[in-house]
Amino acid sequence: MKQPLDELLSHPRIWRGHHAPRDIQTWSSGHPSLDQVLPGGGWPRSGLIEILVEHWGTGELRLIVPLLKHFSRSEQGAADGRGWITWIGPPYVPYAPALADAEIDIARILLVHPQGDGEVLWATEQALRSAGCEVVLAWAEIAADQHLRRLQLAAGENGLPVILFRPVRSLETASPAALRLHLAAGEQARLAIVKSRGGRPASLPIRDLFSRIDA
Amino acid sequence: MPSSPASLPLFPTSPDTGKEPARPEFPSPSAPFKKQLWLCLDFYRLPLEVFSDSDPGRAFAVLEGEGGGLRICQCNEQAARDGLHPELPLNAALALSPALEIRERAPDREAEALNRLAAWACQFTDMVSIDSPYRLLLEIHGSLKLFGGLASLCRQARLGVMEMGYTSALAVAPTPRAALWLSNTRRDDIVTELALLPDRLSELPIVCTDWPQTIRERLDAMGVLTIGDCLRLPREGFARRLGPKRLKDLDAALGRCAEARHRFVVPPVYHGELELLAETLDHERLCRAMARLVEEMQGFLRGWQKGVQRPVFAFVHGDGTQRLALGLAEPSADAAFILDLLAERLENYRLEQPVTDLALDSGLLADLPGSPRGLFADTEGTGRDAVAGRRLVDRLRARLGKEAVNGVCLLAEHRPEAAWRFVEPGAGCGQAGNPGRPFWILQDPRELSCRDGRPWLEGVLEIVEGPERIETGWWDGRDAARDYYVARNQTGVRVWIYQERRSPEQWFLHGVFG
Repeated sequence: MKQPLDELLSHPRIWRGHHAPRDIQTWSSGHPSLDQVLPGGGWPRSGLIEILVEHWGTGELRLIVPLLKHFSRSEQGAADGRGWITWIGPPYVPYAPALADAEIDIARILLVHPQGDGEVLWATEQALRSAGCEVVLAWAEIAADQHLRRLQLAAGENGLPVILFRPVRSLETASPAALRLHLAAGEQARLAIVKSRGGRPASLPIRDLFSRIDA
Repeated sequence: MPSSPASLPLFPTSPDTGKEPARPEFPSPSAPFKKQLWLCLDFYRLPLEVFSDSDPGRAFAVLEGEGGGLRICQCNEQAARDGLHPELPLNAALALSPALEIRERAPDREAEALNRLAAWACQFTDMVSIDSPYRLLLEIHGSLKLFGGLASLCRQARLGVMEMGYTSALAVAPTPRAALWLSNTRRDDIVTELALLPDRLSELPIVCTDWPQTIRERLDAMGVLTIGDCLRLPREGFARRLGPKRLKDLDAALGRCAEARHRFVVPPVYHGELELLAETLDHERLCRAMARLVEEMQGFLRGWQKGVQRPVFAFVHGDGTQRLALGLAEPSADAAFILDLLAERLENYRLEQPVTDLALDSGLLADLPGSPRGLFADTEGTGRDAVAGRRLVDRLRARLGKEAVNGVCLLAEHRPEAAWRFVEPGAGCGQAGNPGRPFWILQDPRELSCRDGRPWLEGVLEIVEGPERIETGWWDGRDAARDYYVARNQTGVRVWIYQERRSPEQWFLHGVFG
């Protein structure tokens, strides 16, 4: 009797609190202390990751730069690792010399500047559904639940991560994201894991994250 | 044994009647022609179908004749249900179907359509011949292997015709003349062996031969009803009474003498036009009508093994012509993809007036990506991801505009604002960057307010690092002499600000560290 039950419980659609699923595919975040608290030890390889920020420019890019660096390096074979690193609707222009300095392949950066959140979400879904991207970064102030669901679905089906940056007030609404982080700036700068599929909430000081302490 | 050659059945038709020894005066059926196989596509509904966007739910008919003698030439199914049929006078037709929509036959347009169909058909073979007014002949013997056999080739041809919204009968025979005659039965006849041809052709009624009415009547009066009956007639008498041309036709059909066909010469670019039955602003209807032209162009491009990079769609209306050029990052011959992009572009495209006519120009043809270039393909830019990536760029640009989708590149330049610029996606060059620069840049530095002589951005900015002096550009009149600082306010935002050395009381925000 026990075996069928185990089989049933190991079904990927059954979520069990306090038991990290064994087979979450992840990429290392490049920040050892963050890897420790993320389920599976890093960023999920596919699905929606939400990062909620109080102000643009409080470290959200530094958080993901190691991931972008990872995608810049991956060149094993033509089919793997020739896709875009897509930025959709960023609040400023990413500064090429700084990105190049961080060892991000700027030839693979695709900048998309749509007008309005609706177009941002449309472009994000297009990027996820094409087979031409490694990772998609998107910035949106307002996103309805059904749109987030579509992104989560598209990213899951096509096996790539989408990182959506949103203002902190979106914390008030639930989200279908696989992973949801809150970056709190200021004196008590902390990174909180609000929601993680297969993990538990956690929080760690920014100081622990970045080797160069700027606080 | 027959006594004189003139009284002989001079077309030995089947083995049982042909027991006599072969007569040397006839060309042998197995004459040493190169083996050929001809596919005939008969677009017998062309007069009706050149009006592509007719609504199938409405009775529609094409007329021919002059003045009071206007008669129905062809009508759609709805009109047929109302009791209309070809040759019916217009007055009678309108009495049967008062809501009938009518157009006069447009032979010019039919000829143009057939020309475009010939260009489309060049994807199957290099030998395409137009048989006016409605038929195409394709020599396909050499193409069978490439298209996976005769059945598969016929299926692809039928599918292509259907996708363009045309109807055609199809026939295959070892001689072009036989293929034409077989196509007249509208039964999709396929005969691949020359030896089987006499039997098959014998069954056909005389009307399948396309011979003039007077000849057909004369044969009818003689009691000659089928081609088989003709073949039983003496050759000389047949030629004397009906003309040597008819005898030659019979010989050509049976493969006893060769028949030269005029080869269709493929134009270097595609141009297609289409008149809409009713003017419209509806994007969906426009796309549906344009689909035919794009499908035609796809066949044309396949014939050339080329792609388009900048097809131009034209919308003609009362105020003139609006042209919409679709720039593709990479040449493509994929109709579905081009139609997708067109639909996306049309969503944000304002048509000034309801459209009456459509046109499509392929522009110059370009080599398709992935065409063989060398023995050892370089790995750069190949693979599925690269193609999908460029298609993504096209798709995003179709909706958001060209300037909304970019790549970035580095420039060797000390002024921070000139050390990069937007480029075509993927054209960025990867030199070493500059350390200590912010991830975000403001395209135009923003002047900051000051309080008590200190820069202010949602709070007092506290200098963390600096100054870094950048002094350059005196040679082009946009010289910069600035001291850059890294600063931070109490919300935790780290910014990159500078002070003009000439006016130290002014502070500018130039970047955000992110």
